[in-house]
Amino acid sequence: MRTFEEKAAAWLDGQLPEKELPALQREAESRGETLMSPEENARLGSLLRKFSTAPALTNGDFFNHGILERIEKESPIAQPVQVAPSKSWFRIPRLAWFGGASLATAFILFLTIIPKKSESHSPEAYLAQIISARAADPNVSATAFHSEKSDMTILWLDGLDYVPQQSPSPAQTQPLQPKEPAKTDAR
Amino acid sequence: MRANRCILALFLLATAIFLLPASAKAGEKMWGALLVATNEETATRIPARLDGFSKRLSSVFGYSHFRLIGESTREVGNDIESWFILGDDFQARSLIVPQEKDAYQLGLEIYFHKKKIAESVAKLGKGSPLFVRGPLYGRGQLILVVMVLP
Repeated sequence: MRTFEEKAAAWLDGQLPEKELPALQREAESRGETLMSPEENARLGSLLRKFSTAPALTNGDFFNHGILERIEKESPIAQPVQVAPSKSWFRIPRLAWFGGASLATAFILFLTIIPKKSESHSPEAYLAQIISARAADPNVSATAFHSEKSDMTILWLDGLDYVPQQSPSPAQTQPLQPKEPAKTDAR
Repeated sequence: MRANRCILALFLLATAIFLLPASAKAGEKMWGALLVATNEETATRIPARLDGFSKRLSSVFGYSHFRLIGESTREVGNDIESWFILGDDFQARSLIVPQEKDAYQLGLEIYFHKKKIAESVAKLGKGSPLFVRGPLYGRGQLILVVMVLP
């Protein structure tokens, strides 16, 4: 049992038996359609084959431009897009504040953490530095000694014999004054 | 002509500025002293010039009292020597020469029983004494102090 479409295709191809044509026409009428005769179908086919491709446009750009203008006129006016203000945390005023705060922090750290110059550089500070110390006697040692705790510099002589205190000592009876000592071998 | 006078004035000013530190050192003085450090109670006090060093001297030398037995004050200069003499037992010769600003070079020779036993070169600032630990003396220790007066 062939369908209506198969019977219609067979009719157009001229292969439908004559006895089935009335039934096909009745079914077409019941569907509200009109059957085309095979001759009309052949003429339509030749026309379609003849004009199957659209003619090339010689002024395509003008045509496209016209279409675009019409589209713009018919479409609603586009509103300019409002760019939302930047929500970035790093804005100029805040950066300026942070720059100032960083400088202040660095300054405070410089004052509190960085060790200050030794006070010995100031005029009132203790400055006594032994550059060289040499013992001229093999039984004596001369050592340069600086006490960090007491901030004192000492030339430490070791190996000297005990000197008994004279009573009264010459230095007590005759306060030290700059004077030439007696000529000795030492000089 | 006027420009030449200006240049001359500037030259004289620069010369004066250059010579000023040297002339300022001319009147500066050094002070030296011999002390005896003991643990005996004495009525004498440490010299006023060493007031700030009393506790520090005790800490370093281990003695509680410091008695002055002789002192000397002289000008600072290239050819001005100072001698500190304790009989024939102990002598010291010092020479202090100005160096750069507020700094001086001290040359020191120590004699013991008239024989040179040690020599030293030191850099001193004003008011900064150098201490020399000498021999045991009596019931204490002999200490030599040399400083440039502030």
